[in-house]
Amino acid sequence: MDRFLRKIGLRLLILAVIWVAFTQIMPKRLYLGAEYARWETVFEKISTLRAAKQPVNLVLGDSRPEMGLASEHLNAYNLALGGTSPVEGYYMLRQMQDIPIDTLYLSYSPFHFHSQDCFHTRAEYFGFIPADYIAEVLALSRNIGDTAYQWNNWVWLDDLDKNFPSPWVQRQLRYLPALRGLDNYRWYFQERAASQARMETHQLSYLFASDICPSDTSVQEYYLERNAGGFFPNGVNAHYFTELLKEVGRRQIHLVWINMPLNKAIRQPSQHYYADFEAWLRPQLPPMTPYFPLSFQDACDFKDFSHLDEEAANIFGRRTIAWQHGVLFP
Amino acid sequence: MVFTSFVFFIFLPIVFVLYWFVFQGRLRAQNLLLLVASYFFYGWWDWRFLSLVAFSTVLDYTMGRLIGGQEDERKRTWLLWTSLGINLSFLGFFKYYNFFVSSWVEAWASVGIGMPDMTLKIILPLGISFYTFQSMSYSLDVYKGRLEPIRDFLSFATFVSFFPQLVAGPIERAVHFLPQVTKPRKFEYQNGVDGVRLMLWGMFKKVVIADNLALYVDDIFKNYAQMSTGTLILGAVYFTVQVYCDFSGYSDIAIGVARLFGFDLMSNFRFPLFARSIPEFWSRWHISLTTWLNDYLFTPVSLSLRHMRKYGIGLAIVITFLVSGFWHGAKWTFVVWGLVNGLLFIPYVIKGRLMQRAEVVAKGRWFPSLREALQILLVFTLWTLTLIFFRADSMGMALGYFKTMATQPTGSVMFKTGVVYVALLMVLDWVNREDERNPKVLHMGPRGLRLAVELVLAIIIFFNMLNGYKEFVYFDF
Amino acid sequence: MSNEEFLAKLQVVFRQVLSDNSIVLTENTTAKDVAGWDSLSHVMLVVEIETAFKKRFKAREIQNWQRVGDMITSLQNG
Repeated sequence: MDRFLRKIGLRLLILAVIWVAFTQIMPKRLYLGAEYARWETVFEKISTLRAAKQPVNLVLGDSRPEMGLASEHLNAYNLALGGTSPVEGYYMLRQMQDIPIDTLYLSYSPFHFHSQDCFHTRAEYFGFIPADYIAEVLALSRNIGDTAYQWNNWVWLDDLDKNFPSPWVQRQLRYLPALRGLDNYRWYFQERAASQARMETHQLSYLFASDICPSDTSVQEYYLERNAGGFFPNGVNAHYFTELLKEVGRRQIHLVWINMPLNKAIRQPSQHYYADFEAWLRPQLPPMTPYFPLSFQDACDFKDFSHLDEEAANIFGRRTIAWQHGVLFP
Repeated sequence: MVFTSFVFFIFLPIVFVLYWFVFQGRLRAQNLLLLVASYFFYGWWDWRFLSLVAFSTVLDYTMGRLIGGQEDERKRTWLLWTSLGINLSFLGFFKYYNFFVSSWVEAWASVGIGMPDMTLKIILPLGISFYTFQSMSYSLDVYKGRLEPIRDFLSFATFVSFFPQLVAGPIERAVHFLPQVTKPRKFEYQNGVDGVRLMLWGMFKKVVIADNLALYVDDIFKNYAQMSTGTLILGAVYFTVQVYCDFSGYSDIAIGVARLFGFDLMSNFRFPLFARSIPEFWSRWHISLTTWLNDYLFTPVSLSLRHMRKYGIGLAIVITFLVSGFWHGAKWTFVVWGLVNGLLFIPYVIKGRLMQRAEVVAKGRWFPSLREALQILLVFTLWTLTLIFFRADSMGMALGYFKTMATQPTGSVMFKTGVVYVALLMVLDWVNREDERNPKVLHMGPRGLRLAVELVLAIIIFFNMLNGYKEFVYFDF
Repeated sequence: MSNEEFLAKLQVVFRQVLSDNSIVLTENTTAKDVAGWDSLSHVMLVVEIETAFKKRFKAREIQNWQRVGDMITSLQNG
């Protein structure tokens, strides 16, 4: 028995050593998967845009425009990233200081004003946004007592950190989610190729294949959870949204606000939520900003609970440009 | 709980340590531990169905005692049929009720008479086909006088629910397994090490080969109407390798885990993909079910039809395979699958050469002879074609698959990368082919090489497990 | 008939059904000892034995045969 346990133990030990060595040398992109590939492509695009001589049109926003706005119809690059809010949007716009921008299509969903999804797990962890900006955001959230940004998807890891103050142990612990996502290397390469292709053909728009209708119940559960208590934007998002609008004004960019269509199935539970959102939003936008109002579409126009499928995205893209021409040249 | 989930790797060491260190030397305590662990293992999936396992245990334990204590031949027979009847009606209710009801409704609908839908929402209790057959074999063996009824309820309960093989076999026989439960077990170093190696090999087949091929298979079968002949052939071949790796992988893990506790389970697969004839194939594929059906169904049926000579044997074979198909699931596709496999046996019955002893293929040689290679290819092809019925969701889909396969020769061939997994499995299994219980790839070469192979396999399995595990195909049966 | 005579006559049947002239039976021979004697050829053997000895066995009797000796016991009992 002792010999058996020694043999098994030795092998487990070797495997552990291999893992630790692996986590020390493995490049991030190999385990951060599809999301990382998208961020990478978007930030690469930003750096190539620096060479642009002509003013460009851009889309900034969260996953609904990322995956549902066929920006080729708008002749705009779709730089929207899932899970982001005006906090990341403001940073990206500031990054593009030296890029001449003609029209900026902004589109954030109401719930990206009162929560943060992926600030820690993507904006902070992926490393495309520099640490000092991250620190600035966190400092603001502490100063104004904004709990949403204090909250961290890795709370359980922070608890562990406190118990293992050694930075080396912390580093290993930080790799636990990486470990869970090690297989992501495949999705990384797949998405990397796909997003490069999208850049060539669709100006980076992510188009979802049309499929069967998603089920209503999952949609409702998802939104009910998010909308609990009505629309209350949090301080950090409100602050950076204001900063974002100021930057737009300062650089005299043509702003167009687009509310992406939402799934009809979610309309009933809290109608005043959307009314509250629009009432909060519109006065902040510069006067005369073309504003595409919030609309609802049939569940069958969506690939999942909230992202348009390919067909609906193309229709919406064409509708948007037609609408915009109507507004600008009545 | 599933063997390839992380929770199993917490569960197993705990049971192992309790078994060999805390309860060492106390047989009843060890058996009780195995029983509790087995119920926990099963209950992790759905504790409510534990009552079915428990019921099956109590039923066959009691019936075994009653049959064993009964001298009168007619009463013994009556008791046996009662026991089989109750077992089969539970199985029938949970597995087959909806099939019969919907077939009944469809039959009436086909002549234009509408019937109300009376199907029920029944969840299939995990492993019910396996443990029901296992406990039934006990009553049958007691009836046939092959086994003395056991008086020790705890040992019997451990036999029925032994967690390594509870949900997907091998379907153990009381004659083989009960003596192991009632005798003290001793830990043997070599047995333990070989058990772990077999687990590793089983996991490799399941997690690396089967789960990766499943991605292609699911895609190809789902969209078969848009695929070309070449893609559909690949899809069918991938499924053959997938289902073999899935199920034999599970069996290997089960046998390996049982070895860690000092138990010997029967072999369930003996390299069926290298079989040179149909009878040989069935002596290598899902052996525990094939021998079960052979002992309790084919033998009595063929003996009672023996006056019909070869026709009787042929008929008995077809009946046995129809039951086998039906055992796999309450769908017409499985019944047709069984029927076709039964019919494939007929040429061998006519030739009078039903069975060649399943010896190692190309023993002592590196490659098979040309004749052997062609035979293997033929059996593999036939098996692959029948498996299209097995995999298809409906008869319409199976026939559509065949039709598309025959009529779309020009389209491009997709999903070619899956060939890598097929080739890898075939090469490694060819190396292993002499001993299904001690895969040679893990036992050959100098110590350093063995260690390297073990570590590489472990790492590959680990990476693939992070993908999220898939259920074993045979859990549905 | 003595056991030896039964054995000799059985051996002829076995050699014929399994087409193997090297088969040598003893009372303790079991299915494992004879190549090709499996549940499938078993049925053919039973039919030929019944014909050769002009006798009909019960199905249950046949299933309890473990070795050639059991066959002879069944034959003698009739």
